[in-house]
Amino acid sequence: MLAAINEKVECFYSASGSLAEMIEAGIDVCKAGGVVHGAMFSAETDLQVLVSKLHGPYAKRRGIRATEGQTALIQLHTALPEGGESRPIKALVSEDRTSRTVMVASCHTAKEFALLLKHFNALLQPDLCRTFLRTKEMKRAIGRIGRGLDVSIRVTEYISGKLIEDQDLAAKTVKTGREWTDEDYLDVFAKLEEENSWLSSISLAVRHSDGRVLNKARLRSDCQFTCSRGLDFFLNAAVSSLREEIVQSHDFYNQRGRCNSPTGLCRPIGIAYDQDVFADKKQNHRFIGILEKLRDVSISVLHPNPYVHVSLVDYLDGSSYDIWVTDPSRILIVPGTKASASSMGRLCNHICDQFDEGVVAEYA
Amino acid sequence: MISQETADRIKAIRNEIDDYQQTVLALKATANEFMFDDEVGDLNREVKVRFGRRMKKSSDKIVTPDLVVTRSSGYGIVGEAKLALPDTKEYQVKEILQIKEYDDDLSGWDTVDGRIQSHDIIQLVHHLRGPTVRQLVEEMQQKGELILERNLAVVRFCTVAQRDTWLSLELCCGALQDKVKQAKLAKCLPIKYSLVAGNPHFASVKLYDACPPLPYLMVLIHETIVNELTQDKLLQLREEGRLWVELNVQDFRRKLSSFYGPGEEGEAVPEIPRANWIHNAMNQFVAMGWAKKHKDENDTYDYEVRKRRKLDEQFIRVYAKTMLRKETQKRRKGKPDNIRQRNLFE
Repeated sequence: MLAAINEKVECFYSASGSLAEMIEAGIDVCKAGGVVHGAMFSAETDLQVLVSKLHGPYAKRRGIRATEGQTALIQLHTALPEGGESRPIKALVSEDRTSRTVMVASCHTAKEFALLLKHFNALLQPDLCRTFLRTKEMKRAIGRIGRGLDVSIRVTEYISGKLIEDQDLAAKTVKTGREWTDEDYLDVFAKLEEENSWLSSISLAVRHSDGRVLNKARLRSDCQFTCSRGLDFFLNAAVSSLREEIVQSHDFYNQRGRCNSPTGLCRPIGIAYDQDVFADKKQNHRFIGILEKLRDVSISVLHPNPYVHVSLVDYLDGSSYDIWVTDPSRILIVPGTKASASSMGRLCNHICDQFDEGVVAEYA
Repeated sequence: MISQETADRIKAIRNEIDDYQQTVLALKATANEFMFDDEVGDLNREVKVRFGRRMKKSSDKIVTPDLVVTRSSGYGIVGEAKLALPDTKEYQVKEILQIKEYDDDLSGWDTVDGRIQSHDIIQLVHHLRGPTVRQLVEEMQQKGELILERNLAVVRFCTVAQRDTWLSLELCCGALQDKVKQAKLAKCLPIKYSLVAGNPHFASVKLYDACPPLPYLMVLIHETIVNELTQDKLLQLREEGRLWVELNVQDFRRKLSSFYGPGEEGEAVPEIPRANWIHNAMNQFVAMGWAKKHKDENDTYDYEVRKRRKLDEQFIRVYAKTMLRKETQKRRKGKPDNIRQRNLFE
């Protein structure tokens, strides 16, 4: 069986000619018992330019090689952290020019794929923009998968986060839960809403009314996926649905800094909560501590209490922000001169994941 | 471990930064209030606000109020913020008398010909200084030392933290032509911090015509340098963890002015920040080993950008130690202490 999978996997990587070839080969991989891992991004530029940036000295130093094509092939030549046989980790990259999105797909293990993505992402900031979907956006994206089809969408497993209520006694502030189930997706989302939890990842089985399983896949809030069955269905239904969310999210976060805002003025955003999450001033310090944990940024705490004012600069792309908490139920993020969609999304996701999930919206 | 002396100095520097920022916020809150149309219940986008502007007196002398609000071709406001007052009454009177400079037919307003029919003068003071300034102004007016043709309103500001955080503006003495605003200020006007901080028209303003505490300016300089890195430089920073950039003080001053001050260079734009403020900050970076001064060019430095975290903590700690060391050296030489930056709460 392993030999069969490997054979199909080789076909998958040789399919760098076109997306259709890649899909066909991916379907065969799933049929043979393998899985296809993928990740979606919004892109500020087209695939050709992205790939050309993978030819530089830093890409070489990281062991990344890229071959141009309608779907590009990228390879990471590196020793795996846990040792073992060294072999290049490969992935195919395709673009959708209409939505300005990019999809990276691979048949390697989840760990290998994550390692490749890490290097790929690091080299292409801020042209490549990761999108983080909040629970409501995940629900909307999943809802669209079954649009116009006679199917049911069942949840087989999900991982969620929830704020620990009695934080005085707890060493952690966020509780992570993993559940194995077989429920309609709407019931799961209703339960999450009721429990004030947020979703990190969800495994789905899409069943036709005649009982056939059309697709089995796992979706993560950072727009990564793993498909083990029905790749063609997944690419047609789920990927296009994710694409819509990615475009919406990118449009929301884009052009908010003074230098690229259409009005020439910064466009602040707010993260609103339906409760006074900052009523207890200990939360100010917790919030600052969480901002300090965000990688590749520097924060300067200009005022911690009774209100919070933090200045943050993102070393990944030079974006900067003033972050204010002057209202117990809202965080205000004021973009500086430069603020990329990628950086804003990363910051808001970090706050929602690590502090508490709120509603990210235009500040008014 | 840091000594108690250093810890006290760090606290004092943090207070100075806080006072500076509150003063900038008070200027913004005043601007916000004078942009606000009480009849419509929203900001009037036609009102022009300048945080620092070079204006010409009838004698051609140039004056630079901290705030200039052109509400229409008929009416405007000039505002001046006072963060601290000298200790002696003689110098306090001198400070207050500076406001007389604005009691003139000023030109440089945001109108077609740069002129306006009439304007009021607002003196913004920290709430702790309010009673002193009111008393001084009233005394000077009674003695005939402060007779102005135009209205002078002394407005004090303070931060009030309840459920929300507010910037409170209160009329201590004087009057305004706009009686609605005068009545609102007389009753004490709380303005939500978030409204001021999140107002896109002036959210970026962080500097006014007073030297900010050095560590705060250093934070702004570091952030601006990172902001300005090209994509190639950012990639180099990500991959190598450090890089050197050349910084010319005059060019960089203009950049800081457009980022955090009154804006791009122009005839009416005052020099905020001043070049010597940046020199002082850069020299502190040199002392920390973060920058090098060019030997043959006085105005140029090389700055090492690294992915450094908690900038404020580092700058404040180093600055506190530098201040204490200088004071100790002076004490040894028998000179009295010269604490340049005053702590408002001392």
